[in-house]
Amino acid sequence: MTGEARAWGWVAHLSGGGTCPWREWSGAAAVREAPLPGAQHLELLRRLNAARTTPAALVDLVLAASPPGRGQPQLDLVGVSEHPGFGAPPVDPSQLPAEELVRLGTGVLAELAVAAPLPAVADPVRPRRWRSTYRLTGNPYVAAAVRRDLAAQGRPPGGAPGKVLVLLTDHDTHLADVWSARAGVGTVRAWEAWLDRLADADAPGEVAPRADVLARVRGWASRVGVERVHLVLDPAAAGPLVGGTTTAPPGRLSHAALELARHTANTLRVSVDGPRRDLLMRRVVHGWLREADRGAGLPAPGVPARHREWVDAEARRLRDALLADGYPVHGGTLDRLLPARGGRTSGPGPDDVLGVLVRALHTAAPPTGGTT
Amino acid sequence: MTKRVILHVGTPKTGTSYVQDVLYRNRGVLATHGILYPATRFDGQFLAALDLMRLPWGGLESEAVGAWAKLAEQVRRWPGTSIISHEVFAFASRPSIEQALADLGHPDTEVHLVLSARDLVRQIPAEWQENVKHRRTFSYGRFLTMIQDPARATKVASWFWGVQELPDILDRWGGSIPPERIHVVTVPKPGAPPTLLWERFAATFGVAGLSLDLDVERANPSLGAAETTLLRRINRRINDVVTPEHYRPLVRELLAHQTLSQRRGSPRLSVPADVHAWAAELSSAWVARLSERGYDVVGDLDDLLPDAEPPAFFDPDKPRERVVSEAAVDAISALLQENVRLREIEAHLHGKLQDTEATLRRSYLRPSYRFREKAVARLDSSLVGKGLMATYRRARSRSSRSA
Repeated sequence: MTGEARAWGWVAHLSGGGTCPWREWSGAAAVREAPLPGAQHLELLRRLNAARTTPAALVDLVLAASPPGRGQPQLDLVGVSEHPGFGAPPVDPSQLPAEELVRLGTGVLAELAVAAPLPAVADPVRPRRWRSTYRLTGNPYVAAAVRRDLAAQGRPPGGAPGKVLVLLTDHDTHLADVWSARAGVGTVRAWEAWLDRLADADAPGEVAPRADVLARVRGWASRVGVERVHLVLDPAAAGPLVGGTTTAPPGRLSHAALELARHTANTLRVSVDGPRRDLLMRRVVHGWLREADRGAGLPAPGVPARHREWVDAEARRLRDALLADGYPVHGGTLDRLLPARGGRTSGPGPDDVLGVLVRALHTAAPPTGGTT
Repeated sequence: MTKRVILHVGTPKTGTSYVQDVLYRNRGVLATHGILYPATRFDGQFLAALDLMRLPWGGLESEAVGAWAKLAEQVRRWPGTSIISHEVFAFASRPSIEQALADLGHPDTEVHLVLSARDLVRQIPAEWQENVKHRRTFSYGRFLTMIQDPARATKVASWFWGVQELPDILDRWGGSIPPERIHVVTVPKPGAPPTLLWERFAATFGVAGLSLDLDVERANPSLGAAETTLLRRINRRINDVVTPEHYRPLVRELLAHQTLSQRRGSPRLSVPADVHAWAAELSSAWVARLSERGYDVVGDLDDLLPDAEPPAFFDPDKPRERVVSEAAVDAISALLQENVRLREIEAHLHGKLQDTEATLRRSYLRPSYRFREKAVARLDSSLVGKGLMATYRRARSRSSRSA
């Protein structure tokens, strides 16, 4: 049996849903004219098969994919033929770094996103004629959920700002949600590098305006007066302030899912224009990632130990300044701005991101057809 | 007329910027001779390459959306010869190459592949310098270690070999193209007539007999060792604060290309003796491989063999600080001059803005404007007034729409 016959046998095995690693594979198949798929392609397919039955359409998509961006070229399988002395050395695919599989897989995920129909959006509820006018600011994730709740009750924000509701969370969560809002559409560096810049900046607003809560609150206070700026520490307390009801936001995406979102959005930058990329990310890819996160128990971004002291000090400074300014406070005391101790601090490993990717590809793959 | 596509896929640092600028500036003349150079901006084909390869490039990729499909369509519609040229194509993966060739009409269309090549001993320092001009901060020593790692595990190494390993590039791109349609253009050795490289390109592209304007500005000039070191130090200081859209005009163009590359007399970048020996051995193997393949060689494959004696090596990681300081003074001088130019533009625009504001103020002083302003303010202060204003604005926007 030649190395090539063994390799084509493995291609057939994987295309049929097999999960045997290359080094343990001993079968064979007829050698085809076409070039062999790359080691990255075959290993990603094996990981997909190990998770669930891979639909035929997804098999084809993975085997034909071109890895986006910079990284390893298409690598040959070790033991197939003698290395000609040039080109990247052949590899045992199980030894490939997870980052390379993620790189290839994000390209596939991006292709699926571009081809996916945009989910229909419910018609907006007609705004009530007589309603409180208000504006929302603060934590972007909580504010978005409150905005959705109130808009669904015919009470969208807008108009002359009778009240300004500032949705507040503990400072760890606030920073993570500000980063996540941007990571979810890919326009930000990695979490820890972003925090590094934030810590080095003279003012957090230089790096991310939404990270600087105090500047935002005081900006509104100077426009509408301190008494009309309401600090809201529990999302459920926001609705009654403007005549509606609000609930806690749904669960957040894990750090690993957000990393994958960042990579996918960067890949999409070359495929679609900015507005469409944001739409695809928010309305298509986030749904897949949410599904991929379900039950995986992966953590949201956490403040690493080296930034602990700085973030705690920022939180105390914010609490003291807001207390001194004298804004109305709802849903708790401003001590809730202080981060809870014992939060998770390590970022996601490449294998965590790969795990989310594999599950997201299965969610995203066309549902028709079984394995070939 | 034979429909033909000439696809120049690299390699970098082989006079490609010059060639592309000649083709771009003369695209009108070329078209009258049945030759299409499809581009509406000088970097149009670069954007097409980014699009094909889904390659992020410091934010430029967002301008590349759909560029490859548009270029390929122009080529498919053109009845004569089309020329496509960009060196980043050298990095393309097999799936991207299959797509590119299919989009260009291969195999029904006669596709010619062109690869321009220069000896590895000159390419190695040139590639490090390109990395530095693209914001990288690693030392030359680190770069040499990365590219000599047999596993090629880093992105730097995989990019270097992806765009410089001649037999591999030709295998990837040329797998389905007959060898006689694969043209290897060699960059002449130093000391050759300055027009020789263009003559080789012109012969390959089939434009040798045409009267073209060869006096172009865009080139990718090289820097000395000390100047590259200075640039690397600048990168370390500014990478976090200067975004790519400002880095390109201020650092790469103004400092590197227009200022530091003009300095003469400082030692050029080269390779240490051990790297020279390693590169010479590799080059011999490549030349042997290429000569077996039956490609059309335009020039001489011996151009790709480094000189037997290694050149004098000036380590850019341990530069003469006096030379770096002199380069830094030139850089400061260039930045000050640019600052003066921008301040003059700012003052001019400030003057224009003041004129506009004065005109606007005069219009506000008309009695009818002041009356209307007061009326709107009074209406907006009461509930009934607000309702009237809302009705008026709705009616006005309806009449605007119907108009």
